[in-house]
Amino acid sequence: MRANRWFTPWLLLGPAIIWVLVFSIWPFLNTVVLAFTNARPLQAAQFVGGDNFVRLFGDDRFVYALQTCAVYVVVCIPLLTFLPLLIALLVNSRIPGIGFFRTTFYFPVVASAVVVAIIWKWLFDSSGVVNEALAWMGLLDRPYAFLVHRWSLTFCAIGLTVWKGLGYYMVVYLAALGNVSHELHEAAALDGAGRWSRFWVVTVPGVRGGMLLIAALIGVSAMRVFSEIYVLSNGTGGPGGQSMTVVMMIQAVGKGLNGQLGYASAISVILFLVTLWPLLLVALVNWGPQLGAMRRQQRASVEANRLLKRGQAARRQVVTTR
Amino acid sequence: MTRTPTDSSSSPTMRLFNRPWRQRGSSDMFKPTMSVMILQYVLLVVLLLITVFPFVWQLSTSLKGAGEDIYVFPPRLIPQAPTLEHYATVARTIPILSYAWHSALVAAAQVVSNVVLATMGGYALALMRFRGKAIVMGLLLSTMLLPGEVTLTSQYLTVKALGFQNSLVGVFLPGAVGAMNVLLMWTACRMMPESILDAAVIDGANAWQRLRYVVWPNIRGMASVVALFSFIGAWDDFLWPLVVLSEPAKYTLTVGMQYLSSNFGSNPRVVAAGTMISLIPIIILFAAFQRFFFQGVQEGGVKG
Amino acid sequence: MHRHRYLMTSAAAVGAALALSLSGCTGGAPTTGGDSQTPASGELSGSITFQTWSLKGDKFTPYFEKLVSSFQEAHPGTTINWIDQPGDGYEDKLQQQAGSGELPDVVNLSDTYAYTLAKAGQLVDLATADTKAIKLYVPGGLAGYTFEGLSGTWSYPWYLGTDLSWWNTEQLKKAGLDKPPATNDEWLADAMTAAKASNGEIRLISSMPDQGTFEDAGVTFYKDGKFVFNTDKAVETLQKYVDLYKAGAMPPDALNGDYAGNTALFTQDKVAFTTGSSSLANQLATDAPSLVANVDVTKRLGVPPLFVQGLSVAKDSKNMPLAMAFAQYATNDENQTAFVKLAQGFLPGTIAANENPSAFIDTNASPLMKKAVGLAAEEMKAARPNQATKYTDAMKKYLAQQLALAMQGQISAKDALDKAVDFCNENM
Repeated sequence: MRANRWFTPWLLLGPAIIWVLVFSIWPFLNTVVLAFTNARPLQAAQFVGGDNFVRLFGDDRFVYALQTCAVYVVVCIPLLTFLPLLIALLVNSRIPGIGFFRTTFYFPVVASAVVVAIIWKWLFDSSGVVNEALAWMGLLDRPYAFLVHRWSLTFCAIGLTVWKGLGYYMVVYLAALGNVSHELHEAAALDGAGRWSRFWVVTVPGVRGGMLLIAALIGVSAMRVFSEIYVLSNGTGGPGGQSMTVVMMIQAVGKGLNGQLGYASAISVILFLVTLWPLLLVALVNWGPQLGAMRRQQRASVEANRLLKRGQAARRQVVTTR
Repeated sequence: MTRTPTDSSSSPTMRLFNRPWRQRGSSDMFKPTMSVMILQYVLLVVLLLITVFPFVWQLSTSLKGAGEDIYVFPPRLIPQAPTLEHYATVARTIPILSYAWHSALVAAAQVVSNVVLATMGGYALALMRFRGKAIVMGLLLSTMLLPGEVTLTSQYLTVKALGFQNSLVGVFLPGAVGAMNVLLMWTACRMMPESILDAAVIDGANAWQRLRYVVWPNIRGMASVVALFSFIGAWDDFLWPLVVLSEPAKYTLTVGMQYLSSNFGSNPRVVAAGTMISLIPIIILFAAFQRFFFQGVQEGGVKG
Repeated sequence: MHRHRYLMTSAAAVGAALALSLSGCTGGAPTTGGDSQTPASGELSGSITFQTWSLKGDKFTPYFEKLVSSFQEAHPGTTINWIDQPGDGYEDKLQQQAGSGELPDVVNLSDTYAYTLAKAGQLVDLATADTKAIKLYVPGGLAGYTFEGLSGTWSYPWYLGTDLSWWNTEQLKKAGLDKPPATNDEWLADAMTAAKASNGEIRLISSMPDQGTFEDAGVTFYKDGKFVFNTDKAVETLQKYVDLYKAGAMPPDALNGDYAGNTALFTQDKVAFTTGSSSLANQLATDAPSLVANVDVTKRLGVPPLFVQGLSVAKDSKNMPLAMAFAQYATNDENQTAFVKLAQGFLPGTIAANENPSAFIDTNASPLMKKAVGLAAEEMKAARPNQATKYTDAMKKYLAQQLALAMQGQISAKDALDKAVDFCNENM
């Protein structure tokens, strides 16, 4: 039906494809190659096989990093999957001034992670506002050093991530809520369902697709968290570096004049493999049927094309032979 | 702003007497009751305090004079001796205007390139049939998995090979079109009813005309979402401009701000002034465009 | 970050004091070294880039602008592009510049950075390139830029610094101590006493042990191409700190091990002791004026460290004559004197400039500052240059992390040191 020449879609997609190849795929392949070398800045690299990976599993910094990220994922996913949904429901009504609230709830998303982390650092410093507040309420007689204990530092960072993520996922849910049918709500209400049960029976199933994607995205970005802990701990990763995340470790290992680029690349490859799973899972659940359908459709259209061409050829033949 | 034509009571006379809350016995279950609405406002205000307090506190810190205590509780948000001195210090230390200008240039360029290129890509993916579509989709999706922080060095070498190191073009280049944005435009284009496009084809419109006159008006909302995401991404980016730019004269705002924390690490007021300078423009911009943004979102874009 | 520490918090005093003690010369007589260090040839032309590190700001920018313009006036037709890099990320910046052949013609380097770049063949050996000028610099500074296994001298010493001990006398009094301890052992004993007497309120330890701590205790840190600081003596030393931490003699904030963290704690009145350069006197005056009356400064306990900053010339410079000339000009007597006059507490890197200390002592300095500068100058003579240039930031960080774990009691002192030594040796 579409009256396109064969190259039109490629012209339109060309820039995007080139950009992806040059600025994402190519550097990534480069990283994969480096992972099998002992590359360092200003020195020639040698192929070292799987040494970097072997070494990685004996490196306790990597174990710490994985633990920190695991806690991050486990805490962030439920918080950021449900809180923004509740907020989205809260701002999804048409009461006066709601636009103002929506806009301000999005401010933390708009601000850069570094700026926000600086503010949080001052809030949680041992002489910061939070300590002053707790002392004022009589809950603490001596300031608590939030940012120098492994888990309190990690939880401060998680708090920051959640605070900054609320607005973002709220918006994603707002989009999804637009699809929850009003008729279903009405029908449920007529059946005598209260707000609470309608939330579980109508709203949640209605946004389930989005929810799954959100959960996966949160999981992936929690695995990759960097700025929050980096700034809160002045780049040290807390006492003993135990609150370091995987990306922080990549950075710490690979940076500087004596950085171990090969080793850092090996960690990157592992990180990639770990983050691949949640997204593949969602892709399968969400888009599996669609992709299948797309492939079938495409196969069909290719087939049709061939038939068409054969038909044309036949006709041409008929014409020429006539 | 609280009414839309789909509201249940849309007769002009009714509207005068409309209350935003539902009265007992009213059949419109989408309108909250009075008490529920009060609860709703209470929750909204609590959330508001949580989201804006850090910013307000930062703003007040940046305006406080040297003798004022920053960390006391309850916090004193109104400075006793308000001063713009710290902003002056920032401006004296770094060429703040030219840094902001560089940031704005890069951000504007990325907004334009992302909107144009992602729209083209999304349109082709959603509304055209061609071989290899699944491969292209796979390619785009896979890039969302690659951790950007770790491919920095390779990216730098690429940009250098192209001859754009130490230039704003080099800062702009890698972010010129994001895979995520192409996918966003793809979802928006998918919402287009096929029949409209078919009609356009029959009318003899070519691919460009269809995109410009038929598709574009329907996906402008999503385009505004892409524009905003691109702007935020470019304005807030720190690591990449730091790597690409070697001459301080060419720095962007986020990189230039580093001078503040290295030279004035001990004066939070100056650092606060610096962060406010980078924060205020983008907040104003967002507030100005939020209507298009939320409209775009609700037109049904960012969903799974 | 390093530089920041040198200038703002740690080492400033060295130079001035040396100068004081070396001569009774009083006049501000112009020094003679300046011109003699610059090649006489008037053939200089073209342009070069001159990169410093974390020196941009109200205090130093005018100095550099004047430095550049006066050089350009003396040599018409030349252009010096001064750039200053932010303190954070300087190492990454250097890596990227060196890796892509863009190292600035004249570049400000600390000894560790100079070592790596020299090893990679990125720097000019100044001892061979200019046999005359190199003799004008102080031997201690030159020693900082001479490395084991690499013959040559890789930087013109620019300014030198060392550390002092700073005490909060009011807190000491509260803990029943009427004067600051005079030796490391006394200090550790006092720290324990104070912690016990005050139930952990008064803390005399503000940072974790480091290379200097172990060396002071008689531990050899680095020898014959290997790190060897996991001796019994070292374990014993570390164990003392672990016990002190348990007793509350050190605030948990110090466990993160970030640079300049100790002076910040001191400024915030959270600890009663810190090491820091004489410039801390100025910092206290601006950031914590109420504290100044209760602050005393003494010589650094143990052997004082020597910090050096130098100007190197890039091997790939496209305008070598100009780069050499400017590097010498920027580090000549006159300009170094003017620089340390701003960076109070640091000493200049040339011999002649040190002979005339009155030229760079700020007569308006506060009594505390004057005392600090005097002590530092005296101390400078005994200051110990860093012997282990192979000890990188990554190693320092790893050692600090292991020590933190030991302090918290998660691993034993012995394990911590063993692990750190292994790490250092593996990563050379």
